[in-house]
Amino acid sequence: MDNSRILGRFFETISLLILLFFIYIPFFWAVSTSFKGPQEWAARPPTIVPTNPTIANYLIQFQQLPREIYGSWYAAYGPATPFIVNSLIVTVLTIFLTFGAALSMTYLSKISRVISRMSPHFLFVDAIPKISMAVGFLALFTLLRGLYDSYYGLSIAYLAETLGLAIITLRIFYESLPPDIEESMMLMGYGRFRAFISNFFSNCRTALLLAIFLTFVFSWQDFTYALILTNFKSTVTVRLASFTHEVGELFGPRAALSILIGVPALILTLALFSRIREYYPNVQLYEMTGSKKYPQPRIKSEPLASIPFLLLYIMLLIAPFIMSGLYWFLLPSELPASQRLILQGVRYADALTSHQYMLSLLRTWIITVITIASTISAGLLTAYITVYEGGGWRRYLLFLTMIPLFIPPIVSGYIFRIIFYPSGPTEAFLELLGIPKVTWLSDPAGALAAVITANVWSSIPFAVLIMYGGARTVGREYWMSSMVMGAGRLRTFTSVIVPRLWRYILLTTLLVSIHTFEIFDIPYIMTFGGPGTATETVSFYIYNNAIKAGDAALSSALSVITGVIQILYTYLLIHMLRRF
Amino acid sequence: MVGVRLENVSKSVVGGTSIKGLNLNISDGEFFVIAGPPGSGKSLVLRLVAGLEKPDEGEIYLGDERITDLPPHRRGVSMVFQSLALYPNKTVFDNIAFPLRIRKVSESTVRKRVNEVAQFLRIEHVLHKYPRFLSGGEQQRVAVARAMILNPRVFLFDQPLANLDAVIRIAMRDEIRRIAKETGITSIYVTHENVEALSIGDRIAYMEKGKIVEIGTPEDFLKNPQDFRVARYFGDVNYVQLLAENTDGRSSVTFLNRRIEVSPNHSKIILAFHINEVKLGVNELGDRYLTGEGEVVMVEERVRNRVCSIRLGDGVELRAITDKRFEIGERVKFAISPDKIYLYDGDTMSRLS
Repeated sequence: MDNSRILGRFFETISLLILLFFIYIPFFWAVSTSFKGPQEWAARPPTIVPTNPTIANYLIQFQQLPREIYGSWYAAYGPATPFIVNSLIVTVLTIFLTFGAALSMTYLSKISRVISRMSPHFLFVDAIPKISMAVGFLALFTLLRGLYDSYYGLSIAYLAETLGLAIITLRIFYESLPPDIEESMMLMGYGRFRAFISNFFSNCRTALLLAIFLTFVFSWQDFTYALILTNFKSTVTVRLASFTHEVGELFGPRAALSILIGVPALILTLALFSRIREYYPNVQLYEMTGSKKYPQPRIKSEPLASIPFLLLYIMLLIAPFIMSGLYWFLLPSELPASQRLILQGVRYADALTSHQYMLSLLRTWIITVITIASTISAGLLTAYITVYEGGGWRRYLLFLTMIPLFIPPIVSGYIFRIIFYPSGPTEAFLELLGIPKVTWLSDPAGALAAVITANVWSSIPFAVLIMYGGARTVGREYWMSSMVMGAGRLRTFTSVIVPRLWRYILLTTLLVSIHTFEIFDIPYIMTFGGPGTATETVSFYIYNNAIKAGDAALSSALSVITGVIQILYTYLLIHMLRRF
Repeated sequence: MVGVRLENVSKSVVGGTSIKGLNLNISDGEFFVIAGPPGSGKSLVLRLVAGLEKPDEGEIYLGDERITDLPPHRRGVSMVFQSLALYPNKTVFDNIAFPLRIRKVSESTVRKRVNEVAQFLRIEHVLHKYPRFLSGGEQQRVAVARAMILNPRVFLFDQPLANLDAVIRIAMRDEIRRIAKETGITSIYVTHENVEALSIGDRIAYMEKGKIVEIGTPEDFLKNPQDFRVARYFGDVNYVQLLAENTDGRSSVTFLNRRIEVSPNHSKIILAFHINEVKLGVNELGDRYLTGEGEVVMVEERVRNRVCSIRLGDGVELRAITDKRFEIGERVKFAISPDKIYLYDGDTMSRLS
């Protein structure tokens, strides 16, 4: 190997290590803090490893700890058990609802062309900001009384978000199976439905697991809906975010709760990883036997079959968004209709002329642009490392950067709150390097930087995952031919590989910007929009100034405007994506 | 054992090939092949017989029994699919036993029957394995075994060998024919491979664009095709399309040095002759033959001989099998026996005398 190549490899490895460092230090710090006692968790300078490790922070989540032994610190903290139970109930309910609906849709899309064509539309829900959807459900629940602050209500909101992805997952797997399997069963004596079920449950188990996993991750990690749509039955993420600190911040117990929220998804991922690998050969077998997607036999369309579909379609996709515009009119009020209409109009004008709203939009875009730039850099590093022969052992280091994917945004926010807290680890670290002191969370620019850092941290896995997949699609003949012609690794990457990865770069941009545009959890828990309004994002602005303030007309106006902006933006990006 | 009869069957398919007014009569115990290019509607015929599709019009009979409205499993037919449709989560034994278990046959009978069938197909040693660990040929046998287990009245094969490599394909082809003949079960076999159709079938129906072009034995198709499309599909033929000269109520075409008389009222005539029939490098053969001269443009080596492409003066290219050696660019004389040339109408594609 010549010198330049060794140097190249060296820089690759160094960048990868810096990425890993960035991913793991905050995580490690949260774990470490969760084992620290009251004297230590706020110690200045901070200790890296707890000197007196204690599991009291975990115990207190499940029981009251006696004041005599553990001191007054813990008395302010009540057990999290009821919230954990609520989260579990809602998650299980959502999994059942989503899976039942997605399975029926997969079957019905065989017999109804309308469903086959329209079921992917549920994905559009993901493009509408959560906050707008939440206002819509709030409005819908004024009609369907009893769903507000209930397990069912929250599950239905989650169902709207997860159904699109679940249907797509099931259908991609299902339609990659040859229709022969079911036809052969029908020849032997099964009915159409029984053949479908038998085929599905024996050959699509991977899809089933994936769909359940995605649903679990969404409903377990959600904060926005739980905060807005529940009151007493709120979930564990809401619990993490809602502490009043009379005795100073309880870093230890909250870090422990963060870890507890993060762990189930992590365990499930590890458990499922082997299951997915186990069933992978089946999928491959069918890939070998022909085209990836088998044309399904056309069956006479049965219009009756599309009725349940259309009901779901209206209930989950159309109604919430329209309702979000009607929220004000659905509330009981003594005002005559004309006055209500005028007031709603005034609220639209208020929203469109509000400097604070425009600033929050601008702020959200700044966060989005910086997040996209950083995640795409991480994504390109991934592609650069893995495109040549899979990257060898470096690939496994890359898989390690997946960890934030399984950590709810609210937890990432809290982890970074610990990291950036005044005289916390970041300050101590920078002091060590001789960099002058920055007060992160209490300085407007510092707070925004901290929020962006937390958001980048939780978005990196998307980019790594997509770009890794993208790099695998570049055939070796592309880069080999370029190298044979004399280009080096870097030159080959910039001139041959990156042009082939545009689709994936755009896809990353799309997903990261949808996810960042609705950023709410992180500023909520890190800074509560402060100091002043320095970290007030659009979603946070709507929540704080309209929903929390109880102004239905303003909530409605803001969520419609924000929803329209986001839909237009998504449409534009998807349009660009289609061209590649 | 029964025959299969399709009477005036029509089925329209949105976005696919439709068939209209199709008639087919397959005798008892026959091995019947439906051949044709992709999109000719040949698989649709099979699916109609299986009951996976219902005809819009027409009737389907198994022997004397009308089965048009029967659900697939009540028809007594078995089908081997192109993808084989083996269930990957079941062992070979469970795959073969599946049809019996659906019918709640007692477990001892299941075991006995599966073992019998497995013995017949020589797959006893893989019964405990999962399909994905078998070779292509073994997977094929398992699929056939599963189709056999119910003692069907008719076997349906939908391009079952399409995913196999060349060597196993030939072996399995003979095996499938052996099974059908030994059990005496009427079989319908769909394929798009001409060699496969010729070697396996008792009779062949050639389909194109949803219509049956010709039905005949392999020998008919090779030696005496009644339709140009059949000649082109199954034989290695040269063909030339010429405009007919109509004078005094008589039609004729001129090819090489010969004027050939045909029955009147055709505008285009196709001359087809097997590449065996072009004799290269001959000098004097007498007047009986059509003779000409051309330039060798390509030589394709075969195991015992070679195929030469000859370009004639007017741009027509002929292919010929020969033992002799020719160089590219060499001018060569050739002769064709006139009674080996088949004449077809260029519009209807049917044979002329």
